Amino acid sequence: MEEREFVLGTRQQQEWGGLVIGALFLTGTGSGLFLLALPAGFTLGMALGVILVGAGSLFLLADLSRYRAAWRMVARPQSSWVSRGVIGITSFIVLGFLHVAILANGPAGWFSLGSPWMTGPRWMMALGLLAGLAALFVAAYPGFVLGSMRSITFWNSAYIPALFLVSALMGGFGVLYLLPLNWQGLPWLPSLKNLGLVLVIFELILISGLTWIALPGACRDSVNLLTRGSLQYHFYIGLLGLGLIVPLVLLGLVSLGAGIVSFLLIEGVLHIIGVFFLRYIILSAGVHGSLH
Amino acid sequence: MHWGMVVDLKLCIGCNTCVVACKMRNGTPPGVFWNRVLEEEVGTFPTARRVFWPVRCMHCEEPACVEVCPTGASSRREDGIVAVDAEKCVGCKACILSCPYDVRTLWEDEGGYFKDGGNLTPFEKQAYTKHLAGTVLKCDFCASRLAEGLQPSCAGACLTGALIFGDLDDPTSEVSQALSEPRVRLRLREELGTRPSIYYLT
Repeated sequence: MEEREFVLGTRQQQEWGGLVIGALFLTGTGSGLFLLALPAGFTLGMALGVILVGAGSLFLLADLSRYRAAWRMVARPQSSWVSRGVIGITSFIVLGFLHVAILANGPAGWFSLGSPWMTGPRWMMALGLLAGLAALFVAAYPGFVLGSMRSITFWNSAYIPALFLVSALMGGFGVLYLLPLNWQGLPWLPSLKNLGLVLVIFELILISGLTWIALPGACRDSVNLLTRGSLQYHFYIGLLGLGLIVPLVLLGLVSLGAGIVSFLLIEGVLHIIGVFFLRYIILSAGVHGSLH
Repeated sequence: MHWGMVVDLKLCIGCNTCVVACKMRNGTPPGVFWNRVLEEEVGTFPTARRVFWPVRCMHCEEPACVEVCPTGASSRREDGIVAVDAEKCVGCKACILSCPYDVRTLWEDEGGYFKDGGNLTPFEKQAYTKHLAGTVLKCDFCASRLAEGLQPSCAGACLTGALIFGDLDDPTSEVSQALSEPRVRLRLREELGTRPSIYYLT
């Protein structure tokens, strides 16, 4: 067993590691994909979103040391964001699955794009709306879970839920770009490109805010880990470079003409890299404050 | 009834008797310490000195761990003790992350201290029946000793009387008397609003 060191000063959190990061990556990307596919009535996209969130929930389950008792985790929604998250993910999987199953068996099928679900019966609209709200919750709730951890002041920031939401949508874009679709035939591709551009810029602003407005103490230690410590390469190269700045340049420079498919593939991969590194650095930079 | 403790930092000599007494009483596995004594160097030569900080669960009045626990395994009893119901704990580690005092440990490895032999000692076999693998372990102010009218083992074993235990609601108790002394008193990380039940006299 690894020797544990107890200290009076600050210490980096080691409780939530690879499995939780993987879970947040998958649930974020999946919920973002669902949120983007829902208004377009893109059944395959919604189905992939539900599958990704389901896979993420398995990662969360694997991180529990007594996963057979996981059903108990819905017991405290009145105070625990972890409990609320479990309820939210479960609701999303159930509602999303139902919505996708009904759409896939209807005239639209799996590969339709641009056949809005809002033209269907009212109950179908309500089901889609509920699934969409659950997806929105799944995309943003990790920020609230982290914010509820009183010991780690870096996580007690309003920027973090917003970052998780924006990044989830970017992950959704990433997966959409990788799907074999007839992009050039889509009438709303320029709008999609503009939305992607806005999201990248917004995430850059949020990250700047998160790293500049850091209180002294453990919060400053967290930021130092990102900007000059052991996480600096993940932060500068993984998140800022590959995840945000290169996609921003690509989105700005490349016109939506010939070669669009290969451009979208690169953009998609970079977005997904950015989603992963955002979660990796935020979780890894959690620092417990000094005892006095 | 509100169990609490006063730690007199001027009396603590860092002997770790409380740590060993706790280990013996509660049979905590390797890597699990329900209390420990942290050391701090203060001042500069020639007035440098060491200060010892005995740290255990602060049994907060507003416990951060209870708030985040998704199963209700962590709860605050009516007598002020923050306890873990092992049967309800799923090992999600949210309470460990939320606790500002680093006093909770997830017990995953069921091995004992003497791994070369491969088997648990008779003491470990007996002691480990009190714990459930895969759950979070922490100090409970020796609730079983309190039920017998005894002090927690750490306070009972303290050589210098640095650990004073008692009912904070009783103005005649030893802890309340200690707190009424005209000395500087503090609680760790009070700015987080946890309202710990352990006070330090400097």
